[in-house]
Amino acid sequence: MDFETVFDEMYPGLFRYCHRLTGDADVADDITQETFVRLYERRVEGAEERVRAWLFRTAIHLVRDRHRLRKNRRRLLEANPVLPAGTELPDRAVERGEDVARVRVALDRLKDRDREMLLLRYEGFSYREIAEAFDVAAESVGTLLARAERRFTKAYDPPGENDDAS
Amino acid sequence: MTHLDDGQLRALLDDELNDAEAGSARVHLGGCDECAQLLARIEAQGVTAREAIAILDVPAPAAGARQAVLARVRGTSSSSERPVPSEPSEAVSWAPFYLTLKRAAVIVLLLTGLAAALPGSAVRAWMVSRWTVAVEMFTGTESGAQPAAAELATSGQESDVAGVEFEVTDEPLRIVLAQIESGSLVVVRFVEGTRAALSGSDARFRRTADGRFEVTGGSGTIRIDVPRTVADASLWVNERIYLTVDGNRIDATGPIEAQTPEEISFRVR
Repeated sequence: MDFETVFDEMYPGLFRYCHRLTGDADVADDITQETFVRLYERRVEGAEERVRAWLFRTAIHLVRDRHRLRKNRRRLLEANPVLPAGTELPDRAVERGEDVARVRVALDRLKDRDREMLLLRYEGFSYREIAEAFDVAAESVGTLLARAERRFTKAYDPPGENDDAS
Repeated sequence: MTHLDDGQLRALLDDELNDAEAGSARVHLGGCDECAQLLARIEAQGVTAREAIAILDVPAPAAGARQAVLARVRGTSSSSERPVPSEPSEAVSWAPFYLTLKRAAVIVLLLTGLAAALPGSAVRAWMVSRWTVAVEMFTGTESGAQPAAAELATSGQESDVAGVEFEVTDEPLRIVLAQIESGSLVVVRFVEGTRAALSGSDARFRRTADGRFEVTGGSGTIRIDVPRTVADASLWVNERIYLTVDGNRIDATGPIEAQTPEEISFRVR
């Protein structure tokens, strides 16, 4: 597989993952692009599965690097939105909807690692791949995922639903 | 009776148990209401979480991203770092891109820089004249004058020029670059003194409010000089924050191309 084929096949999933993690399409696009550039620069080769795992691991690290900047960025965006004169606000109504806000709040309740793991699973990664990515025992992945989903639904669902012993 | 735990049930649902484990779990579930209820709850939570998280999804900007990534990897090709793979295989492999083009670009840049550096050269004279004209048009002052911020162009006044410079007296300083072509380079340099400068080809410059400056429609390389004394500043490019200065802290959130203690370069996407 050449680089462009890898990009075409893996960009959508990686972008979706980064967007779910960050909540910002621009940041997700930046990180996804940067990840592919690094893939190229570092000549990561091998089976498709290996390359895919490398891409997602690298993206996770880039997201973490950006995480510390997020608060400052949000503060600036909210306090002083700057748009060029004559430019209309972009249509991001869906992202700003009530449901989206609820999902984001619920995701933010998770520990970083739990969130990253859960979203990796939703991208189709196996327990073994997740275990390798986070250096945990494969036998513990199910427990970690179940815990993450429990916390997520508890934060996401209205009170009274999905209550459990946790 | 040993009940199944969350992890085992989650793994069962995800088809991640081996045959023996899965068989044993199913036998247990057949006779244990407690575990069966827990399984149903875990399954419902999984469905809820998956469906909810999918709400976040937006279309991936694949076409633009593809172009940008390919432009970047072609621009960073290096024969020493990227030898030609000896044999094609099913593994991922990379071909060297556009080395000839890159070498040509480097030669042109070197020649241009050399010409600009030579005293008395036509290139240098042209660049100086364009800069001077820019300052005059932007500020309305005579050539050679050092205008203060109050003497800068009034809001909305535009000039199709190569660059401007101005005294920074208002903070926060907002520099807003709009409609900048993808692939353009934005170079931010931290300079001594109190004067800022903006320059770029095919760009229009204007001050739209105190401390707020717009550069519209530039391409190639856009240079921004920011005084080190500025404590509150931000750089926006195509509606995105690339750089913020908050006291002694500088956060570069744009796509960094290169960075030194004096200068940060961003490649616009």
